[in-house]
This record gives sequence, structure tokens and C-alpha cells, in this order.
Amino acid sequence: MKALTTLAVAAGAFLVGAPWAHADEELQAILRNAEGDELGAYNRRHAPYESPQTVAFELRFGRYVPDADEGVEGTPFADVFGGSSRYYGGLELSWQALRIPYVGTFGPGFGIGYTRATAKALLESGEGRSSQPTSLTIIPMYVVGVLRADELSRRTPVPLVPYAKLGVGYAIWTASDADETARVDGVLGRGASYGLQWALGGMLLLDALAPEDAREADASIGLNNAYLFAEWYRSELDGFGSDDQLEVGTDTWMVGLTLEF
Amino acid sequence: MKTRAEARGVSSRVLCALLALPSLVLGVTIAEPAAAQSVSIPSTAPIRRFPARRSGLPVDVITHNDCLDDGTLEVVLNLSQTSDLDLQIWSGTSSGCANDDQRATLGDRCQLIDSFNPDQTSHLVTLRVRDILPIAALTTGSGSGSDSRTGGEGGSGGDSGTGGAPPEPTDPAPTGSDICESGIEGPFSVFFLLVDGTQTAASATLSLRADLEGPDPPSDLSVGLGEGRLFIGWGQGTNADDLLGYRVFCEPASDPEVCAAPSLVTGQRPPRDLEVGRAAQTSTEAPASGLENGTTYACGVSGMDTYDNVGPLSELVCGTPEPVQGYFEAYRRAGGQAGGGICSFDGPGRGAGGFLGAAFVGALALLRRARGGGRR
Repeated sequence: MKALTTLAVAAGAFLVGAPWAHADEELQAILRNAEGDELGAYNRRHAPYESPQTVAFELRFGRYVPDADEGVEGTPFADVFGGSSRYYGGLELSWQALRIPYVGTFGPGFGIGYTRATAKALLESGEGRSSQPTSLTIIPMYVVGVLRADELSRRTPVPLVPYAKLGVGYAIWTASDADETARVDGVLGRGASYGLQWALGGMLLLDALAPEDAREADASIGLNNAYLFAEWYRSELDGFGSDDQLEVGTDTWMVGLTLEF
Repeated sequence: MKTRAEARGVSSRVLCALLALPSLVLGVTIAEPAAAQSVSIPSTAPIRRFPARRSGLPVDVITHNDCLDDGTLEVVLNLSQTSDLDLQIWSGTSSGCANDDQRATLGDRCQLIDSFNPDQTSHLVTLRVRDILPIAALTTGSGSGSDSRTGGEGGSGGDSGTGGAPPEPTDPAPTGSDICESGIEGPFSVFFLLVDGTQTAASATLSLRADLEGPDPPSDLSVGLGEGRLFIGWGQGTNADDLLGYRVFCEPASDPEVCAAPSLVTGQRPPRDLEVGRAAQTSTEAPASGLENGTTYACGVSGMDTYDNVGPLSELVCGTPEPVQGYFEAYRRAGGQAGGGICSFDGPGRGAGGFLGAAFVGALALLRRARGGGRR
């Protein structure tokens, strides 16, 4: 009887013209509910209710030292700001537009963040530093395609989701002296840089730590999954090889929290 | 048994009390008229000030800047039955200034500002701030608002008082702009008296407050160098309750060895035109900008209160601005070509608008899609 129901729903979805990915997911959802409990104590496929999952939201944090000394003579960034770590905080929102069977979700994502390097400006006389602050503020943004291979965690007890992102990065930057935008020979210390952006990472599914709470969160606010993630992040904001852009990209580790709704 | 005249007097007092109620809201009181003559300040015509001040300052407070600017107040008076009467304007700290008997005993604690014959029922009176400040009264320490020795507001005398001998001021009263440096602080009143010969027929009172004193200065000053600027820091801020912020004053040092300046003197209020920087209440450093590299400046800091009164100057510190190299200058000198603005048409930032626009539209589409759900 169950098999018949499954086939009927799948056929109906196909006939009304639902997108193939969604139809496939409907089918899989029905199949999941129709299957037995052969995969052990914790099996997300047996959740009594699972809300629709369409977007992923990330809170991101990481060390961010821009490659600003690339393409220039010497090391002006390191000379002025020193070698200490600078940090980045950001957000990312991605639409899980497609579910690829046996792989995971794929869709576009948009991210935006903020980082700032500050120091006391150097005295021209070379006798140390002044009391005048100087800074470089960067607002990195990107549009990427995000592939999250979550079928492993959906089909097995392994709570890991590898993922990859590839796209275009774009950053607005402002250099300031004494809290005013810097100006040198009439050129304003403000600009934008763009280039290639990619990341590889893995997410640790937190639902397994508190399955009941996870199910309740899904039922009440539509939170499907929560993850901790770590990723290797690379942005080459050099205008695709142009020499008139300040390279404010970096390669670094990012960590954070992902919520899927 | 009351006579008819007594009964009429009671009725007029009740009527006057009712009329006075709206005026109390503005801190203005209307005295009981002895006869049909009256003078009042309509509550619908608030005091106007010249020059105009920043918004937020109470209209009834006279500040140091009001005095320095030689400002004026305009007050509308409603008068009736003023023929053969003079309008006298007095200021003082005692309500006894409106009382003929007591005023004579209060001496220079009541000062006559003006006297003229009003020929209109509505009269616009212009009061010069420097004229109405009751310097003698406030500097002798006798100003405490309503004086308990007087029996109430104005009227035509009759209240008994024990004024006694007028106090002698210890120093001659300052004149001109020196008045502004008197540092007086406290409530006082301006009395508008309709006088019939030597008897006051009616009066109205305008309650004001003088606050010409600024907060104490910060201490433990330090100076840091910048390009065309100095950074003045302080270790110990001001604890005044009404502190609004700090003001920095600099002047080319007359003697850099001992850090002295011609116009800036520790403990004295600095000239306004030497202000070169500001800082908020919680700051411990302020930039002094607009200076010349290579010139040694003497700088000090004053506190400023919520009435914009600048207090006495701190100790002086000296420094010489000199050229510095910020990050962008270092980058350009290293051969970097970026800069010029995000939306510069010919600059490296071209395309920013398109990217941001596309990103915004994309984010909206994502949110719309997400809100719309979609069974998966």
C-alpha cells in the first residue's frame, strides 16, 4: 500500500510540472517516511516533521590580513600597521535553490563583512610614530555559488557536510588619516577592488547533540539544521590581474555558525 | 463686616489669581493690581533671544556666551491703564525688589534697569543681558531666589519686611564685557513695575537664572604629534555633573621653553577664537587641528557645561606639529595606483554600482524566495 501511495504522489508531482529537483525531494521525503529504522538510534530521515529548507544563513568570523602589499614596492601595509592579526566579522545568506540527488544542495549566496586595520601614523622624520591615527577599512562582499554536500549527513549518522563556494568578490575600502578620508596629491583614499573568490570547508551538524531540541526548533521556527563550520577562504581582489586596484583580499581560515531554514 | 471696597478688592484678587495660572507655567508671576492698572507677561508670547542660540538651551538661563555676544531678550508686556504711570524695570535676587518699602532697604541687590512711560497696551521690552545680570546681588552671596524676608510678589507695598541695611559689595561692580567674567551663578528675577509717583501700582516678574561659570578643567595633560595638528590628552577628567564635553585651545607659544602663550593662561577662561578642537564628555583625548607644521603651540583644555559655558583653562602643554605618513600616503609612495573613490567613473571602482545593485536585488530575491517557502 505504501509503495502504491509513493508512486501515486511521485506521478502526480511529475504530471503537474513541479521542478525536477523538488519532485525528487518530495519523492525522497516520502521514501524516507516509508522506510524502516534500519540506520540506528539517530536517523534524521525519521524525523516526524521536517519543514521546507530553502536558505542557509552564516555568521562568520576569522583573521583577516589583506594582501595589500602585493603589486607595490616594499611593504607599506606591514610598515604602517605592523604584523599583528586583524579580524573580520560577516554574514552570508545563500539560497539552496537546487537539491542534487545523492550530492546535496546548490544555489547562489551573498556575503558581506567588515574589517579594519588601525595604527598611529609614522613620523616623516623617521623618529617613530606620531599620535595621529591612520586606518584601512574594508567591507568585503561576494556573490558565490554554494554547493553543500549534505547527503552524507542525511543518509548516514556521520554529521559532517563538506562544501565549496566559488564566485566573484568585491570589496569597498577606505583609508583614513585622523578620522578623515585620506587624500594624497588630490587622490581620495577610497576605492573598490574585485576578483575571484572561493572557499572550501566543512560543517559539523549540531542537531545530533540535542535531537529533541532540533526537532522542536524545526517545528516552531522552521530551523532545519544548525552547524559549526570551518573553511579555507581565498579572495583575490586584484581586478583579475589589474595593477590599479588595492589588493584587499586575503587567504585565511573562517569559522562560524550556519543555520538552515 | 466687609465694606464694598474690601469686597471688590477680594474679587479682583481672585480674578487675578485665575488669570495668573497660565503664566506660572513659564515661570512668570503676575502681581496683584492695586487698582485697575495691570502689567502681565502673556504665556503665549515666550521670550525671544538675540542672537539665536543652539536649540536645547533653556530659554530662562543666561549663559556666558549670551553675555559675550552682548545678547538681548525680548519680552512682551500687556499693560492697561498706564496713563501717568511709569514702567520701571528692575532686576535682583529678592522678591522684595518689587516691594516699594523693601526695595529701599535692599540697596544694590535691586538694580534699576530702565524707566519710561509706556504709551501702548502691548509693549515689547528689549533687555540687554549685560544690563539685567544682578552682579552685586549674586556676588555678595545673597541671591537665593525667592527671598524669605519679603512677603510675596510686588503689588503696591504694604507687606512688612525686615530688610535691614543693604549689604556693601566688597568690590566695585564690573562693567562692559568684564561682567561676563564675573562667574556669577544663581536665580534672579526681572521686575516690571507700573509706578504711580513713588508707589507701585502693579507688577509682573520674569524668573531667570544666571549661569556664567564653566566646569573645572581636566588635569595631567599630555601632547602627541600629528600633521598640522596636535593630540591633547588628559589623565584626570572633570567630575562636574553638568559637563557636556571639552574644548581645546591652542596658540603659538610665546616662550616654548616654559610653554607660555600670550592669551592662554592657566585658570582663566580662554578666548573663544583660539578654540581648535572638541571632545565628548567621556573622551580623554582631543585633536587640535588647523595648526602649522614646525610651529610650537601652547595648548590647554577647558570643560564645557550643558549651557555651553567654557570653564577655566587647564595647565598648558607644548608641541610642534610635523609631517606624518599615513597608510594611504605610504601606499601611493610605494607605487600603488588605487584610490579616487568608489563611484569614480574613470577610477578603479567602476562597476561598483552594478555590483551593489545586483547584490541587493539578489538578496531581495533570496528573502522573497525564502519567505515564500517551497516544499522540497
